[in-house]
Amino acid sequence: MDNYQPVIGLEIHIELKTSSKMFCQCSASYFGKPANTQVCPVCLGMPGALPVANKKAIEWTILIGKALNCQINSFSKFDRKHYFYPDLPKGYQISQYDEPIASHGWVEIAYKDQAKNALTKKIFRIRRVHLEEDTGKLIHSKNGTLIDFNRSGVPLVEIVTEPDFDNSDDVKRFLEELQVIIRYLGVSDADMEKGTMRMEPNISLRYQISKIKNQKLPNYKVEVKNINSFRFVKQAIDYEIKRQIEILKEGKTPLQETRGFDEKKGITYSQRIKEKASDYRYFPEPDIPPLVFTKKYLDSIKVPELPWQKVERYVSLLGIRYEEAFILTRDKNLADYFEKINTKFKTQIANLNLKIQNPSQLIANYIVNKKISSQLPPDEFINKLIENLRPKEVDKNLLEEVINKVLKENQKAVLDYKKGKVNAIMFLVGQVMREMKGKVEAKIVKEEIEKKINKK
Amino acid sequence: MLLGKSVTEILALIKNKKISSKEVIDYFLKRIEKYNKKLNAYLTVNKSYKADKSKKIKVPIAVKDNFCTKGIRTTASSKVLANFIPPYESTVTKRLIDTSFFILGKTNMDAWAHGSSTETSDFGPTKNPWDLSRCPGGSSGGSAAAVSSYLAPAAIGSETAGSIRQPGSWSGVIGLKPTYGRVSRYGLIAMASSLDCPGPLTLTTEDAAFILKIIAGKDEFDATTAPNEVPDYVASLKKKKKFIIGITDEYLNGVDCEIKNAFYQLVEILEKLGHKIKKIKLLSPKYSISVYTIIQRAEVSSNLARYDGIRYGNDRTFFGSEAKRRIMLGTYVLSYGYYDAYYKKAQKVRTLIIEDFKKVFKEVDMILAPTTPIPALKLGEFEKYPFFGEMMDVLNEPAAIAGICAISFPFGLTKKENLPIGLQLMGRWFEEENILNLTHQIEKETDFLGVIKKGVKNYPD
Amino acid sequence: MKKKSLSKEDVLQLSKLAGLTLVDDEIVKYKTQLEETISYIENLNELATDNVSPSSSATFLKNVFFDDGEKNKRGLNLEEVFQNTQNKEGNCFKVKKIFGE
Repeated sequence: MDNYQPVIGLEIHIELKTSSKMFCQCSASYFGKPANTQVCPVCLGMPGALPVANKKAIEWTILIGKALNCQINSFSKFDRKHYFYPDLPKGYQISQYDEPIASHGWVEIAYKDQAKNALTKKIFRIRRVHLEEDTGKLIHSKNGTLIDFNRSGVPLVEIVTEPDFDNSDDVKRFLEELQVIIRYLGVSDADMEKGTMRMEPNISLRYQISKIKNQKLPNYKVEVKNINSFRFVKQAIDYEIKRQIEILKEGKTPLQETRGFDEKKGITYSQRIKEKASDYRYFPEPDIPPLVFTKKYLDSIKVPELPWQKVERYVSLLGIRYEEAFILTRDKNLADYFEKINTKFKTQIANLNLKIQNPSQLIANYIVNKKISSQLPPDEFINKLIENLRPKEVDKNLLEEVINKVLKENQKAVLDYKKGKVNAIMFLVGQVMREMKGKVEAKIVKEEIEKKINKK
Repeated sequence: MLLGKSVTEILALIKNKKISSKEVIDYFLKRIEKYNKKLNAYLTVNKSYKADKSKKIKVPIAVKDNFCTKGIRTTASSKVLANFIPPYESTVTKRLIDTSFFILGKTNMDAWAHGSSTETSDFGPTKNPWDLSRCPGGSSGGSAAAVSSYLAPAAIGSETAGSIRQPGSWSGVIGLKPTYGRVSRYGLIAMASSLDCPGPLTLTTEDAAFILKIIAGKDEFDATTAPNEVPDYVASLKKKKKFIIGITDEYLNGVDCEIKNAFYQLVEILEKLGHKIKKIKLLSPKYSISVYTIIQRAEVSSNLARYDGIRYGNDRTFFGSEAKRRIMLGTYVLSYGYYDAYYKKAQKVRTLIIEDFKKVFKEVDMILAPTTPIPALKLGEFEKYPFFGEMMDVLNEPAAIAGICAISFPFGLTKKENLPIGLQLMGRWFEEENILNLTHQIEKETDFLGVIKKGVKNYPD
Repeated sequence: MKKKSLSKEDVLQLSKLAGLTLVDDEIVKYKTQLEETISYIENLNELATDNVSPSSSATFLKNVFFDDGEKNKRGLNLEEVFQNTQNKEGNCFKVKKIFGE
């Protein structure tokens, strides 16, 4: 890459699926609801209205922080972030500035490196996790912009990473892992298309003189907005890297700005130049007393087994290959389904008189390769599985008929075999198997053919 | 029959069927008709009273126009909200309506409560009932004037730093500023959120105690309300408590001679009643002015950001010059690079002021001081003073910043101009009981030197 | 007292942040008034506060929350939502077309 090294950091917004909004009791599930029907004086920013914080949203933010290996700060508070925009009813957003709920975390991603055929692991640092409120929604129509405040005040968790990424593949893997973690926690659908997970990469490039680590960060940053799928994230970053290299090669510095992403053209475009006006005048929200967490309280918030922990357990304790373990754990429901079958099947296996080397791997294969539908209830799945494993009863008459037919039609092969061309029999076995549509074992077919030829 | 009767007295009359709620309300509507043109105390009069079937007792009360009242225009005296009809009820007015009050009307104030004279109102100044060429004080000037001239038997005001006590003092009525967090701010159009306190303006100490009991207490819609139990303020007036009362020179510097004389006269009376007077030392109020200026302006600039004219009201070009001035300074002290030097510094000094009061309250139960350095100013005179008269609140700001409770009551008239003099008691956090108790003792002993009764008599039926 | 001075550009920048449109007279007026006030409030520097923690309010409360899913007593109907505005189209508030974001 011509000695230019990308420096990429991420800002990810996760909308929590609490029942109520962040600072009032209005319903937080706005998707598909008629505009402005889930609002009250608080989320409409009426004169005199005051916020009160939703306890569960705070708990869930702590949970996310813990799942991302963060330090949970015992003291935290809300701050007001000021800017004017029609979707922001109070003229400020209640957010967190210098005392976020969680900070200093990390996420590890692991993937099979195809070239080396080995497992690669990388750690990306989380700078902070904080809680804020969502804005209303703008709808651009022909003769104006319309505002729906149903989304106004929905709890939003912002996760900020350190600028630790240097390529778009890692970003994509990280986001996929993060999405799975969030879904495991049950705190959000984390759906990019529905906007319950949103992400803004900031991208810049530094000229790498040597392989020295921790070099100075570039003196500009380009933020890309409006990306609503992981695929587009990769496209946007790759496009940005190319664009910025061209500018740098001309001896210029790319502008510090916010760019949008055009998914049809696969390019980014300038939205607004960051200027001095983005001075948010943060100050502590006087309407909300501070948050003080005791160790006991923080300890009571328990993180469930996370996807990467499940992968490790499947591999080391159940002896499943990494590839299947990874696929099974991407969806918690699927992993739960697998575990239910795995446990039940193991209790039944003793009575089955079947030799199975690694039942867990077998089940994993059946689920991953969709040999049996994972839509079936676990018991039905197991029944089908057992049926599949049992040796087939062969219709002797049919088999004899088919063998006779095949031998008659392939006299030459029979002769060859008799002359000592041992391999010729495999051709005959293949022909029989085809006629039998695989409903018989090759071993049996071979024995029967040999019997027949030798009799003659 | 009704002239000068307190809320508690009117309630007793209605209960004893001497008069009906409707007759009482009509009586006040008639008085408003007669005098409001002259005083401009009310911006909106509520003529919608209909006796309901439950025959619930209703006593009228005036409410400052920065409390949202469902279905009744609420302007905060600003043209930005000239036609704003709140779709919801503030907690204070809801609690009043749910017990035994009828909102008689909405009273004039400094626009957005920015001021100490009621002259910054976009709907013209309120006149001081004692001298129509003077202002009633502010920002709850309309409420103070309405009670003083008996256009309401009591009123609700709000104080950020002096806005209840100072107009109470200049208009010759009682003004109670409760502890911050004692009374809900939900539905009160925010001025400075960390300082705003609703409170009553009344003719008697008993009424102040009675109304406080109704409006005080935890509110699920205001996270800054305290969970502390609400005592029976009225019942506890009867206890004959003895107090240690602090006085300090810091609060007498530059105070008008006649006010100082009234102060010392009261000190003598208190000693005679068996209370102990103790000299104390407090931080100079001049620091409070700076702390107040920074915090209040910063919060004002933030709280007024919602007025964009999209969902309600007019757009930002409708702000008056006082609001703009405050928004500008607030924006300055919060802007990038200045936050630490101003806002954070002010919050640190705020800690010092809180600590200062804590220390003093280990030695004394409450502090006695004048409410204002001088009596009511003439209309238009404010502009001659630095900070546009905010200096009039210099004696009120420390208590506001510390969040302690305080009460102002009239104590005599100036000989020169026959204007009410106000003195105040500042008490510990959540000890409204004590400052009310002592005010009640003073009332029984002196009748506030006749000021309140004289005020009402200036406005015969 | 040291006089703090602001430039016209400073005042314009502040008005932009504050969402206010000022005319020339106002710029001059507010510039003077701001300078006056800023000079006065510098008196806080007379007090040492190095080891003092800031108080953002006078309440001594912490952790005040509501429980998720609590009954909503304050929901507004469409008539209440729009009773104070003309900027309405269908169920939505309406403003001049915004480009970009």
